[in-house]
Amino acid sequence: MKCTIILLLLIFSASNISFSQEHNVHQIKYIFNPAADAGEDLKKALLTAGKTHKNVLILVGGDWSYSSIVFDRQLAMGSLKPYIDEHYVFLRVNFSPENKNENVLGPYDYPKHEGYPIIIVLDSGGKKIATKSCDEYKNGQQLPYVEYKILQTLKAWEIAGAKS
Amino acid sequence: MLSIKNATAKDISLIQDIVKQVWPQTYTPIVGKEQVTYMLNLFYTPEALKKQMKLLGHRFIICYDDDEPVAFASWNEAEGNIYKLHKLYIITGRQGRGVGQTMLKHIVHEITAKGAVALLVNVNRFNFKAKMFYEKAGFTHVIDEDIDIGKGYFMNDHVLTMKISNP
Repeated sequence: MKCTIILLLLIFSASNISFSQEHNVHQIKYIFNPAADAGEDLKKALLTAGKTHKNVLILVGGDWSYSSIVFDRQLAMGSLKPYIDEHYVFLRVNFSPENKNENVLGPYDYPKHEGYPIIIVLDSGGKKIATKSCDEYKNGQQLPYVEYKILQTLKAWEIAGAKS
Repeated sequence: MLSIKNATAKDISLIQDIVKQVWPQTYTPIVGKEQVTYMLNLFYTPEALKKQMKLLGHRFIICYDDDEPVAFASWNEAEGNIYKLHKLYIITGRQGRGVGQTMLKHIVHEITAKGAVALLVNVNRFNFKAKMFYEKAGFTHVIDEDIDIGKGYFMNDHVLTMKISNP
């Protein structure tokens, strides 16, 4: 009898624990998801770019990098967003020790030994137009990045993509 | 003597008391009485606060001066290694005396241990006092954001970020 009571108590407390854990369903998302299939994402981006006559803008970075986070916010949420939406298909590709996406990024010969994040622009055929470390958009060593400088580059590359 | 304690659903009425004191004074001049009421109903009902705590993973703390609650704050990991400070409110008579700094230090200490890279906060573009507080604490303005909260109301914010350096 005693045993049954103890057992019942145990079961009861165990189910209480799982109950409280189920309530906390907060899932962490990523800006740069190490588990994403970057090859498949790029294929889709190129398809969309072909249909809409845009270039593809790849931002290579990681959630480990403060600069990547700031640059991403400026591109994807700030005053540059309307321009980018109109002229580019925007794609984030993760670079981190656990997943460097070398198979996907390898062909583009980008400046991987300079600071992250890095941008790569492709035309809709997948041909590289240009690539740059975002470091040069910094104001000295200061963040945030200087947006009119980014816009200048993107405009120049947009025109280059239209020609090729 | 300031002390900081973790808050749970049991402390919701305490949090609401602080909000009722701070919010109208801070935001009525900026967004008007109607929007303040609308936002309080959106974010500060017991149900809304419970949802933030249990479903969205927001951590809440309350700062006491001896036994008197003077401030509260909440944050979560919004994206991988990127933490967002959702709320930091200090009752108006205690502002400007290091309570905010003490709380921010506590939060930064906690998230640093968890491997945080950045702490983000949204500040209303006309809340100059808050912006100054965060900039003094090491935050930088990155972008502006207009968030549609329904019924024709918007939050017109600055997004400020701080780099968390891991040892």
